Amino acid sequence: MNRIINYLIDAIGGVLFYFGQTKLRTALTLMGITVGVSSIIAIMTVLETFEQSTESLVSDMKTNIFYITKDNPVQVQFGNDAGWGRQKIPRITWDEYEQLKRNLTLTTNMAATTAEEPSDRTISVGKEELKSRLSSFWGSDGDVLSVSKYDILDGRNMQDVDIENASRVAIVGYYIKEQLFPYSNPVGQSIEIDNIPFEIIALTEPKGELLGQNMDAMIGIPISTYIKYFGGKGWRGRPDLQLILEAESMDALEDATDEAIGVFRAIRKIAPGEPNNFYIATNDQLMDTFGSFTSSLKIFVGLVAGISLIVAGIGIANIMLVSLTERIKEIGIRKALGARRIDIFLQFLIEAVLISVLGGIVGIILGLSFGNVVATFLDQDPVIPYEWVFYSLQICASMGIIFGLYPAIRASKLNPIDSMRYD
Amino acid sequence: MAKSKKEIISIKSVSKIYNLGETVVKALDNVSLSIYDNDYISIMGPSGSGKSTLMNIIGCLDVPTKGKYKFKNELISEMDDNQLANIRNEKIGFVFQTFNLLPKLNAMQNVEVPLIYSSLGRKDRKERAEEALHIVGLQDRMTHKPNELSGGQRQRVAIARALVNKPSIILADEPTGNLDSKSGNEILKFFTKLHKDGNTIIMVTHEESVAKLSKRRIDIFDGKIARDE
Repeated sequence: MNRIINYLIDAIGGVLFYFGQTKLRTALTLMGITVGVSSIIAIMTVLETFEQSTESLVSDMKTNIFYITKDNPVQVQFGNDAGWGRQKIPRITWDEYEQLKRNLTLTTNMAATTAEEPSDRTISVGKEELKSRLSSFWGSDGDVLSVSKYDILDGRNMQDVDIENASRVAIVGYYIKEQLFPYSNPVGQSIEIDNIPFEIIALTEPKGELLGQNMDAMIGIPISTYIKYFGGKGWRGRPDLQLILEAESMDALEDATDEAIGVFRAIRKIAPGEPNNFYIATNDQLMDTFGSFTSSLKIFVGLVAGISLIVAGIGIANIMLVSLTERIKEIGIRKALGARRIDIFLQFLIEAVLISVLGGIVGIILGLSFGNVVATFLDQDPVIPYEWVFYSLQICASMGIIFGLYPAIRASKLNPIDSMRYD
Repeated sequence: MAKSKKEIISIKSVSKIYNLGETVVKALDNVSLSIYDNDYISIMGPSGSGKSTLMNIIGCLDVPTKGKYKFKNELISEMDDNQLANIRNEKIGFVFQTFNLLPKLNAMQNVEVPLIYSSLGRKDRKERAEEALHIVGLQDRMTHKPNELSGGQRQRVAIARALVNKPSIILADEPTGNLDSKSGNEILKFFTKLHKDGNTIIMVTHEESVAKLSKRRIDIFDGKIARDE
C-alpha cells in the first residue's frame, strides 16, 4: 500500500514537473481531451436542462388527457425529410371535430384549440401598443386554462355563451397587464387585437418563463371568435385545429384513445391497413418522443465525442512516447536504484492517466460552464449531469490506461545499464 | 586479507560473453573473487579491461553468462529482473561518476528515490533521507535542486542516496572522475570515514592516488584478475 502511495506522489510530482517543462506541448495534448469531454458535458447539460423542464411541464398537465393533431407535436426534424409527406396530411377541420364529438363515448371532455405561437398580431389599448410579440394567441372552446395550468387572478373563465355567440372577449396573461395596464385592473376594460376591440374577461396569474418563452405574454379568445375574425376565408375549414380530449380517468385513457383513433379513421374513411394521417398522443407519449429524440442526440454526440477522444488518446500515446525518449536516463537511474519493471510501468501509466484525467477535468469545467450559460440564457435552473461527469472521468481514465499502455510497457523493458549511458 | 571476516560476495568462475554478431567478446573470463564485510576495495584497469562489466555484475545490474555469483548466500546469477531490482534496492548503494541525480528533484527527493521502491511510509522516508543528508553534511541544502549545487555537493547527495537504504555494500564507479581535486579529496575522505564506520566499499578507479587509499586492490586486465592484494 505504501508503495502505491509512493508511486502516486512521485508520479504527480513528475507530471507537474513535466508540465512545467513542456507547457505548450502538454497544453496541446490536453486540448484534444478537453474539447472532447467539454462537448459531451455541454450537450448533456443542455439536454438535462430540457428534460428537466419538459418533465415539469408535462407533469403539470393532466395525465388523462390526449391530443389529436396534424403534426407530430414533439418530433424535431433534421432538414425537411417529411416535406412532401406532410403535404398529404390534411388539417383537422371543424367538421371533423364536430363529428368526433358526436361519436365518442369514452371521452368525457373535448376541446378544439388553434394557436399562433408566437403571434404577430398587433395588441393595443388606445394608442398604446404592445412592443414585444405574443408568445401565444389562441382560440378555444374548452377549458384551456385548466389544461395548461393557468390560474385566474381576477375575472371569469369563458362560458358556452361566449363560444356560441362568438363574443369578443379575451383572457390575458399577466405580462399584458404589466405592459398595457400598469396602474389599473384590466378586467372589464377593452383591448384591441389587430384593431378589433375585445373585452377583457380575465387576468391570469403570473407563470414566468418556460423554455425561453414568456408564458404570460398570452391572449386567449373563444375559438368561434378566432375563426370568425382571424380564421381567413371559409370559416368552417381554415384553421388547423388541435384537439384536446379527456378520458374519464388514467385507467380509461387507453380505451378512450383506441376509440378516438377508430372513430377518427372512420370519419376520414381510412381503409384498414392504411396508416393514420393524423397524430394521437398522450402526455406519456410526448415524453417518450422527446426521450427518443434526446437519446438519439446523445448517441450522435457520443459518436462525435468518441472520435475526438480517440484522436486525443493518440496524442497521449505520442506525448508519452516523447516523454519516454526524453527520460531514458531517468528510467535507467531509477532501475539501478531498485525500481522493478512494474514500478516503471506503473509510473508511466499513472502519468498517462493523470494527463488525460486532468484534461478531462478541464473539459468538464468548461462543458458545465458552457452548458449552464446556455441553460441560464433559456431561463432554466443550472444543472450538473453527474452521471456524465462520472462517465467522462471514467472514459478519460480508461483512455489514459489504453493509450499509456504501450509507452509504459516500453519504458518498463528498458535495460538499466544502457539507459544510464543514454544522453 | 582478514579471512575471519564474514563473506558478503562470492564470485566463482564467472564469465561474461557478449555476442556481437560475428565477433564474440569475452568481457570477463573465468573470474573468481570474494568480498568480505568492511572491505575497502579499489578495482583498477585500463578501459576495455572488463572492470565496468565486473562492476555491473557485482552491482546486480547484469548477470554473468557462466559461473556463480552469490550475494549474502543468495544466488544472484539465476535471478530474474525483478529479484535483481530488489537486491539493488535493499543491499547495494550506487555512487556514479556523473552523479546520476534526477534534475527535477531536489536533494531531499533525490535521496528519497530508492525508498520509493521499498515499502516505507512517507514520514519514515523523510526521516531516513534527512538522516542521510545529515551524514554527508548537506542538511542545509536539502531543498536545492542538483543544478543549484556544486559538483562536490552533488556527489555528496549521491552518496547520501547510496546510504539511505543502509546497504550491505557501496559501489562507487569513478566517484571523483568528474570533480576537481579539492572536491575529489573531500569525497575520498568521506569514503574513508564511511569505511571506518563499518561500511563495505568497492570503488572502480583508474587513478593510482585514489586506489592507494583503499585497503585492497584488484587489477583487471583482458577480463581476468591480474592482481588481488
